[in-house]
Amino acid sequence: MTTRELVDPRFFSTLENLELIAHGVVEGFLNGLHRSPYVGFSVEFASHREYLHGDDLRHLNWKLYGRHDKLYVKQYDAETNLDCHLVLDVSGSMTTKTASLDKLRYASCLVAAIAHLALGQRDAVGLTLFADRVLAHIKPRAKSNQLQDILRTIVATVSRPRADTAAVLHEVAELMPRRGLVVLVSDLFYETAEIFSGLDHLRFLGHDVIVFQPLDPLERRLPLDGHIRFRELETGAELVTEAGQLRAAYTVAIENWLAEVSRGCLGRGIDHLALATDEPLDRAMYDYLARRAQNY
Amino acid sequence: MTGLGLVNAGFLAATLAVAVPVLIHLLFRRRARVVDIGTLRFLQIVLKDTAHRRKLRRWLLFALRVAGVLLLALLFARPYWSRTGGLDQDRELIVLIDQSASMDARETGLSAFARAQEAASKLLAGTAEGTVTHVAYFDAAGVFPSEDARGVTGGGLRIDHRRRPGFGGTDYPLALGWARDVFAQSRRPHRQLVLLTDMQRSGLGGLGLGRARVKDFPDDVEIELIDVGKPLVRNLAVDEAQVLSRDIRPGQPLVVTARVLNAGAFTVRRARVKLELTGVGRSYDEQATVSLAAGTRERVRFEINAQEPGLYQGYVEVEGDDALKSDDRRWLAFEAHAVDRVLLVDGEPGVSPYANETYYLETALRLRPPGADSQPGADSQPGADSQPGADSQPGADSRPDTDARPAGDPPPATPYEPERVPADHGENWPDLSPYSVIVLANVAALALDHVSSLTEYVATGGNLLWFSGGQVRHSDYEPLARAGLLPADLGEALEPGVYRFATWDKEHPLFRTLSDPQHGDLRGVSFRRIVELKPAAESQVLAADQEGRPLIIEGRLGKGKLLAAAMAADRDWGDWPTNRLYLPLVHQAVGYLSGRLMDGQRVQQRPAGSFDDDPPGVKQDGERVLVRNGNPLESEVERVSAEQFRTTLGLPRLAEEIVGSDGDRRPPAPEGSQRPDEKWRYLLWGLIVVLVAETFLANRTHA
Repeated sequence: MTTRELVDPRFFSTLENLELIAHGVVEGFLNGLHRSPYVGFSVEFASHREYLHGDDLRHLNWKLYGRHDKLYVKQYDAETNLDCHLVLDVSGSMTTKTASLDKLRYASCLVAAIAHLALGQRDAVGLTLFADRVLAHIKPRAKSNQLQDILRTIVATVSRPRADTAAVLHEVAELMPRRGLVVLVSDLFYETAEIFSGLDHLRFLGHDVIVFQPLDPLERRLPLDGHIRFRELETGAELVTEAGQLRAAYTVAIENWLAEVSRGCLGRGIDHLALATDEPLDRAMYDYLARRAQNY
Repeated sequence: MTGLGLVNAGFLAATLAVAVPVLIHLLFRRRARVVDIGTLRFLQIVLKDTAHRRKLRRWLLFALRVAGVLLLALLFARPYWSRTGGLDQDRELIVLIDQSASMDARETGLSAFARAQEAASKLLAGTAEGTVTHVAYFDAAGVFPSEDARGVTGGGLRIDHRRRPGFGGTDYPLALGWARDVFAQSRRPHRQLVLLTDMQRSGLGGLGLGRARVKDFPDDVEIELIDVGKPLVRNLAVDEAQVLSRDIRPGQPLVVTARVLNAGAFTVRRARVKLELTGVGRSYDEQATVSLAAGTRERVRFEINAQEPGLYQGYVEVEGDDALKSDDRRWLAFEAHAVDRVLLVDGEPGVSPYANETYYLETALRLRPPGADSQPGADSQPGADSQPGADSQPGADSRPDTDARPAGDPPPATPYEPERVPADHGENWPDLSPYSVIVLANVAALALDHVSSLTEYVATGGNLLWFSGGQVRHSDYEPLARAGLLPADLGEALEPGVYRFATWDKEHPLFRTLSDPQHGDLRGVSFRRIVELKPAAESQVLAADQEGRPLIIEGRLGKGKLLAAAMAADRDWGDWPTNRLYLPLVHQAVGYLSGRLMDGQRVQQRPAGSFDDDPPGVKQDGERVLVRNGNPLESEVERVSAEQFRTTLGLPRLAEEIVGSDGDRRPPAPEGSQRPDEKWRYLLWGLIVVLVAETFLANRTHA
């Protein structure tokens, strides 16, 4: 098995153990990198570089100075006090499934992988699950069993059938008073104004925010033909139509909406990444790490 | 003209299949696959944006499916279209309705004429407004346009339902010729002729002579033939009635014969035939029975014991419940005469009868001239003689005529009884008063007392016919000339030569029938010698030779009539007694003098009219007695097919329909046969278009 396949949903959808999935995803992801950009001054040595004016003299490598008569300072893996808030939407709409796994499962894998990755870098990781209200919340910590707590909470939580409003994001924001990185994983099937209102709240509190928006291929491209009775997962409302006839207009409508969301996020300094449940997680991981490196 | 018709109306039941797309429509809605989706929000946005267009498409799709089923049903029903409604400024319509006697035939329900009237009414009602319309009735007598139904439709045109069929024959060429002439004056591009008739074969007329063809009938005229008739199962008719002899002889009855026709399809047994006759204060009622096979004729004989001269009139009627009543009775009238005694005064008796001067005259008067069977008063109306079925042309009728004259009957006797006396100046000069005509043949001279009695005889109403001859001398005739017994001054006999009839008074009763070249050319009658006659005052030259010399002169004396002939009565001055016209000339001359010809003309045959005001019957019209009968050909109800009709008359393609008892028009052929005006091709194309449109639209229509 190649490391690339580890991040492929078709692979980890076959696994039941979320920890194993998170580990496999992260390992596969990291092994695929040519160079880890995430280095800093921490307890674990990473490399040397030439001394520059202003560097802390405690990190000078005197032995190299004695041997080569040049000044080098030691570099270590970064150790930060970053709080990473993972916010996962578990509303009914997240259970849409036409690919190998539904959106909630895909999002859970993503959250688990980010948690594994973040904890591996000594970041404090917390978790909040919400639907029409906050269903579970774990404060950010960097302790060794934090990942187990997070994974257990995700597995134990049952999705709520209905979530009409994104006002719950304000409640979520109130749970994270300390500045950090908020990773919101949701399909965002709410009123756009309510979403942006919640995101504004997070930004107001000083959080950096990354929005991952997993969408089912059905929701993204409507790849169906014939007479289809569409049933909304949260409300049970039904609509009968010729799917093939609507595809073009539907695709335009949803792309317009995604563009609107992206523009709104961009205007607020928020990373927004729309994902499909049939595509690998590495793009989301990159995005996460890039964002972390940019700000921390 | 009329409306939509269907060849296979039963297929209209297939329109119930309209329910199929409805069911499909409903079932299809419930067979949608269920798919769970996170939100309907974007679908609803899309659907909202296209809702109006989709609604229209759905209804259009539904309409197309329903239309497809309807078109399919109509396609199998095979409609045909005759123009109805709307405004048509380009159309001219002629409706010809047969009003011949046979159109009155009625076995059950309406008569053929009533059906034709009904169909014509519906035709007018369905004709596009603005169509120039002519409605006309026709029979053999002519074409009679209806003033109530001529003009532009939409202007209150109507059919006169009080009108009845006439009693005349049928003449299709005449009617079509009239229509051709009307169309010739039309400038409208779409011209249509509708002919409502019972398709009687006899109406074609002139078969085999080319006269039936309607010349120069426009090819672009759309001709529709509507058959309102039905084959008649039962029809008995009296198609001829005549008196064999109208001469009253003591002890001998008058004989009336009638010919009965069974024009039906079955043998008729013991049909009753009766003769009702009135005359000279008496009525005669005779009856007979006759049995006839289908399509045959039988002659029935009645004997009337009438001994009084005078006018007799009545009818012969066959009784029976048949379809056509108007031909059951045939009217007749005749003038019965006592036999005319003719005194032949022989101026040159011979040693044998053959040598007598009056031999040829006597022989001629004892013979019956050809054609005299058909006497005045018999039922032989003008126009009917030349028609098939008349006695004179038995070969022209394909139907068996079992007898033209009852078997064993002697030919009718001559109406004259000639008596010969020699002009010997003796004592045997008879009493002249019983004689109708006195003939002086080559009489050299008469005794004065004979001249006196002859003068008195003529002056009181007697008639004198004088023939010249070798013994006639101008000087000897002084007493007759003085008495006014000769209408001319007598000259000398002319030198031998060739003297022939060159001019004659064609309107005079003496020559009227001989003026027709078919009856003989008088110019072929020639004489070797004649005597010179100079017409006296108030005398009239009836005939002259090639030089204008009088041959026959008529004059009057008192109440009597005089005829003087410049030729001899025997073969002394020529062979004219051996000419075939000798006999009719003698009969005409004697008949004219005796008044028989004039009496015969008193009873005149007329065809029954085309309208109710001239019905069959006997009618007094001043001095004349008019006998009217319907056309006997109308009893022959043999029908002709549309194709025979077309080919015989030389017409372009026909559209044929029949009319049922309700007056509605229907295609004549059994269901399934081809009609020229069917419109299924348009429906087929329409169905294809609808199916293509449905397929196209169905692939682009969603909820």
